[in-house]
Amino acid sequence: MARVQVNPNRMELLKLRKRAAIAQRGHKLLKDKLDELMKQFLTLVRESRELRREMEARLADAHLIFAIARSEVITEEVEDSLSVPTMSLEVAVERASIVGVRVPHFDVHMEGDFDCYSLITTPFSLDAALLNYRELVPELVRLAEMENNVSLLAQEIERTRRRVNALEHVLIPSLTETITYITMKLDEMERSYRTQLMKIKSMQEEAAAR
Amino acid sequence: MDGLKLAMLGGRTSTLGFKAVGVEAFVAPLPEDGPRIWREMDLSRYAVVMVTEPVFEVLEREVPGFPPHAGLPVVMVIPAVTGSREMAVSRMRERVQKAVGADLEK
Repeated sequence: MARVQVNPNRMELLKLRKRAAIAQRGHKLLKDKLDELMKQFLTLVRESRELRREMEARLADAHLIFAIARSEVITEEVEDSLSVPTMSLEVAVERASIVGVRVPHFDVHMEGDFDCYSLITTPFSLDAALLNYRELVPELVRLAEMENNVSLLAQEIERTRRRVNALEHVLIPSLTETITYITMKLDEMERSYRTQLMKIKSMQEEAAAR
Repeated sequence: MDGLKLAMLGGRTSTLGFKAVGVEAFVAPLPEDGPRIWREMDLSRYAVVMVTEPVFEVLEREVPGFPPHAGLPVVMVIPAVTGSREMAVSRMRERVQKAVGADLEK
């Protein structure tokens, strides 16, 4: 592991110890965050998968009923009937947060009714089909929100994991290694200073004895 | 941020029913028309854009940066009238695999 390039002195040693402590703390916090993100993510994935399955089945039913309705009259007639919809739909977007990840939250507001067509020229089953679609829309928006949350959380998990790994495998080992290096260097300097002193002292004693 | 709409991009039959209930429908007669229509859409008006599977496939192949990863609109893939190709399910599986590092369904 590459050492941090610093001068081996006490000042740097103190600084590095402080940095190492902060890195350890950051690593622990990020790891906790990752665990919590993962927990939320897995719940969300399970829920969204169930909803997706249900939605696809219901959508297939809705399409089927609509196809039956269309088959009862001329296609153009249905298209003409629905060309000017009287129903309006708005989605209010709010911000929510899951473990600090900002996600959008959608609220669907529907106004008016879908009966923009003549009841005489269109089949009865068209009403049933459109009723299905009307019920499906808020659920589909909910599904979109959930799947979007899953993808945002997935991105955040990847980012957090990268940071945890960088701290765990790069920064912390390199700091620890540098700290050991400086400590050893300082010890070495002290030992060499002491031997110098001992040597000088013995030389002085020799000189005095003569 | 309020008062955004819901849009749908897909074949005529897939979008018609949704149009009647207030969803803004963009018809792509052929999946290959998808990219042109996508570029013409004013995306800032929509909160969610539902795209049918065949069109989504073409868009993903031909439009750089599709689907957008963050912000609005949220793009959702839904099955077309012709039936589900399970695209959403497999995309979700890939995403989970990438994030968690394991396939959870096995």
